[in-house]
Amino acid sequence: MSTDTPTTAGMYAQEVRAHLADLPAEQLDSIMDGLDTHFAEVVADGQPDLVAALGTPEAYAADLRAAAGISQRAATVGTPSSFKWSRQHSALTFALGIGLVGLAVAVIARRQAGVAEVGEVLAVALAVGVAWWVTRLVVQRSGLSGGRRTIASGALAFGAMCTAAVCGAVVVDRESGGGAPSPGFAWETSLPFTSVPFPLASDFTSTKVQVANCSEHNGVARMMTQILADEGFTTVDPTNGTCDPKIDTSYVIYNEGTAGAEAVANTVAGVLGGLSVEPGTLPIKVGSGAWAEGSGVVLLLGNDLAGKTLEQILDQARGGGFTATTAPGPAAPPVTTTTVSLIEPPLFGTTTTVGP
Amino acid sequence: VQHVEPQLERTQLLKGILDAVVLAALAAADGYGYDVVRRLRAGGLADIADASVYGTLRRLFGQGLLTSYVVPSDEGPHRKYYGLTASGRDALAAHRGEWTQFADAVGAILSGIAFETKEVRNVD
Repeated sequence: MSTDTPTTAGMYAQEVRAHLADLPAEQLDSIMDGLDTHFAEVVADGQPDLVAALGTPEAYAADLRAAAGISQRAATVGTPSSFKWSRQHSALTFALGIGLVGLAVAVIARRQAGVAEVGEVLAVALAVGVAWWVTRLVVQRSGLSGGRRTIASGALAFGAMCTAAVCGAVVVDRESGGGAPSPGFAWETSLPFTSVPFPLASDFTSTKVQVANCSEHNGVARMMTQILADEGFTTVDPTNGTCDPKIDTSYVIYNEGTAGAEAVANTVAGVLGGLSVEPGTLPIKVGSGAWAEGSGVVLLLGNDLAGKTLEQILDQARGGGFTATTAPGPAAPPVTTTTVSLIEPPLFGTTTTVGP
Repeated sequence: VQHVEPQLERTQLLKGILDAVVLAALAAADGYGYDVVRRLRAGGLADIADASVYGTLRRLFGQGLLTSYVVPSDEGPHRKYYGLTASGRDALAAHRGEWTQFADAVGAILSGIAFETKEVRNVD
């Protein structure tokens, strides 16, 4: 019960209505019909204090129910601040759910190089909406009442939203995968949600990333360093690579002796649209021949990515004019190469073994 | 000294006769909710609960014992008037008969008259 004294007929009526908010809308409207007028009349009759004249709104609502032959509310006696299954609440929850799912879809789409289209997002939102209202209908027809109905609704709605969100994510995943992924990528061999994920860096700032310029252009390593820093990696100053000859295809190496370096390397490769990743052996192909202080990951920047923005890199990767799984060095032994699909977020990458 | 709460019992008593008195209050003339409250209070049921009357009107209407129609008011919003339907009048007649029998029996018991005769009437 509210401790505030309703000072006007309108407020009193509103509070009475709030205590009946669990009723179906038509029943609520019908039982409240004309009551605000009545309360105003009682005030006009010389009884300005409606609580003194009619009792508390809660008691009034309870009397109305009893006399009208409507069962008392099961769960809320004495706990009026508890959840009320009103239309306002469900509308609010609905909007919130749509918002959250939309956000999730937007995040997924962004991680997949911005390929999701507005139509897909709307389709997901629609699916969630339908799931929600079906749930509501089922619960309302189920004959549960009061607190039980609230709990059942909540549980069912949550389940429905989760299902719809997962379906939506799969749909978006598939849709974006339909756009002819280039052969160098692992889309064909990786099954979303079922493949063995490589150890994704839980903290991809733990190991610093260095960019080494192995391209034929000057000053491009600094630009790439900035891109990686913008994506959230911790970077060290770029350096010149010692690749001879210069390389066309960028790839990532990591220090096997550094905990978490492989995961960070995979994440770098994924962010850049899918590069090959391999362990680096000393001397690595940077000026000093060694890992920089605090760094266990080096991006050897080739002509393919030199001087390009992240957007251009991802566009290029999607266009198929970009092969990422070139294993460098003719004498290199077979290495375990983690290929990260540009389509999938790094979480769903697979480990495949390729020859040199 | 035992503490007695007559209010509570009276509330219980009123609950049992709400349908009858609300129907009766509308038997002579149609009225809106507040009319019915006022008529019942003027008739001696000073403590009848406003909400009980409104709730009863809604329920009797739902049962088809009352008709309702809206009359525009000079002072402001509309008022919902209620009147008895044919089945409302039948129900009122039944209530009257039942109440008379009940009141007679209770009256006789409380006054002691009921126990002056050899046979005690079964008031069930």
